[in-house]
Amino acid sequence: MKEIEEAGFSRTRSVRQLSAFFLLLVGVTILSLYTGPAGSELEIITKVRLPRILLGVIVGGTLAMSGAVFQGILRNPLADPYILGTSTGGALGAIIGLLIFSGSKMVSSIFIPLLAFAGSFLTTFLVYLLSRRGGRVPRETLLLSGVIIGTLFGAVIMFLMTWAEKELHEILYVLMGFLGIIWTGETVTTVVTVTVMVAAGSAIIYYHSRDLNLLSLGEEQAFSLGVDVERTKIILFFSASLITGAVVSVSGLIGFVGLIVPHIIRMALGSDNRVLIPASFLAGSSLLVVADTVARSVFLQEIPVGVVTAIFGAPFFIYLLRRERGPG
Amino acid sequence: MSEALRTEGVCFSYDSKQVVESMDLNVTRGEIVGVIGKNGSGKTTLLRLIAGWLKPGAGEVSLFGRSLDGMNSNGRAKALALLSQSAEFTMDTSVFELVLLGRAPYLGRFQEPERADLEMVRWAMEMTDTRAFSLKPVSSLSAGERQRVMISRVLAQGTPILLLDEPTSYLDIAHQRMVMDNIAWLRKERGTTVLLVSHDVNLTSHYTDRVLLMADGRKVAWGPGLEVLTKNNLKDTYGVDLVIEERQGKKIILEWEDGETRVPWDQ
Repeated sequence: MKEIEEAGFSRTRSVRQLSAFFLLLVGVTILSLYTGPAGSELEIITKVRLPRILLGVIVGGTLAMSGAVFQGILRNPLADPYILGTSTGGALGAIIGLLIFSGSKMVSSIFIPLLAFAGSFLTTFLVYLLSRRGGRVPRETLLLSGVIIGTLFGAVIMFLMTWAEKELHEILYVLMGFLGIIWTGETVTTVVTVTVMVAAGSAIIYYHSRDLNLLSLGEEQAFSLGVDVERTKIILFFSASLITGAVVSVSGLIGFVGLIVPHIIRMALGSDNRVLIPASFLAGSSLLVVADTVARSVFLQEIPVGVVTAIFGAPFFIYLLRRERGPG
Repeated sequence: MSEALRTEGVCFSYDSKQVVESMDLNVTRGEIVGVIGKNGSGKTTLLRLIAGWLKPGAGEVSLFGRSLDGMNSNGRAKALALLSQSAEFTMDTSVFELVLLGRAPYLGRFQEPERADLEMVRWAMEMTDTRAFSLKPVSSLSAGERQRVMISRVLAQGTPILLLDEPTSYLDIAHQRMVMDNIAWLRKERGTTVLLVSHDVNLTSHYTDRVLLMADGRKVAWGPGLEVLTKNNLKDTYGVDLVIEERQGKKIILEWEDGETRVPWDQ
């Protein structure tokens, strides 16, 4: 009867596991607060590092959670907001905003995030429409459409860059991923808006986490277990792309967090999305805070955090690819 | 003799090709019905239509006298379980956790499984001889073991209707017999109604009360195995000559007849 005690969803076990990840995040945060080339004066800790860490928590958590959701809906371990073009769509929206509203800080603080949300949302919608076959969304066409639209929008970004002059630097930061935004009244408003959106999207996603478990059986089997498959997929797909767009507007493109984190959590805690989804958020936060600490303290010249995550993430992606092709 | 399942004039077309054509079926509670036919004859589509996964272009499916359209998804999940063919599974969990997913219609989204659910899972695993590896990851299993786990998942759902698409595929003969005997036992003890799609004509003949023979989405023959599984019917459907005998009131295919097989759809 051992399995009776071990298996199945347990609230106490989930709380214990999530608490452990929360403590990890707290530990990482404290470490990050006291790390950096500028010393440890109270002024620097509270006014420079703390807001940046909080931003890292929101961005990293969101990317990891979105990755877990996309992997669940598409039942493909290699899916994440980047591969689906969702992030690139958000970046395109943000870059168009930078070009249109350059010079008027007040307007851009409201419109750039809005345009990024719109970019992510529309990209996801476009990818969804392109991959729809007779009322359903097969994952093969969805992945292909994501890659094609992502590549197309990447090209549009390059095209826009040839016209950009003084905005070129900012566009580069969007493309490379950067958490060191300058905190002003406008950026605080932006970050608060993003946080509210992330909270709402996360709640919707968490509510549907068991449906993701059932979807892993295949859509037909999930349906026979009472899941409203198409509706659930659409809700999860759009919630995940909306929160992705929201964070891309403040951080730019930060890759691989959405890919790596859910994998590590699955290895550590298993595949139950009711644990995987919140644990991915906490672990994604921790990972990005660490990566950003590395980005701002290893070299004298700060490097974009997207570069750090890519350096560690790309080999991990290759490892996964090879494992996928391997026996078994 | 109450009715468990009925299809009335059910049609389904895909890319302007009729896959299932005006299908009328009336299955009694506690009946095991076999569905046989060539590859692509519409057997799986028919099962999907009855499961509600595909919406019929015309006609209606009803379960226990209630229209399938009028049932909510949870009610449907408590009435009918579907074993899909070559069910792919992507989440790597333990066998036990996978079978436990079968209890989802009875549990809230964040509800812990109760004793009764765990008992049901254990029972479902005993029915398919999978308890021995209940804590193993699904990815470590052979195809046959995985198929038995998927059957356990369906049994754990505890529904009065089972739709089984090729349940014995990948199973060795001992487990084929065990699984089918247990399904027959379920029908006897609980009045479970079963729709069984299989390519194994002898197995179909042995375990079913009535057989539906399909060709090109249409009902070719429908009735007791003795009447449906005749030499002529099988020759017309599959284009092969078979040596068929009757034993203990069941038709049984003994072997292929000598001589070259002419396939009628090639002519």
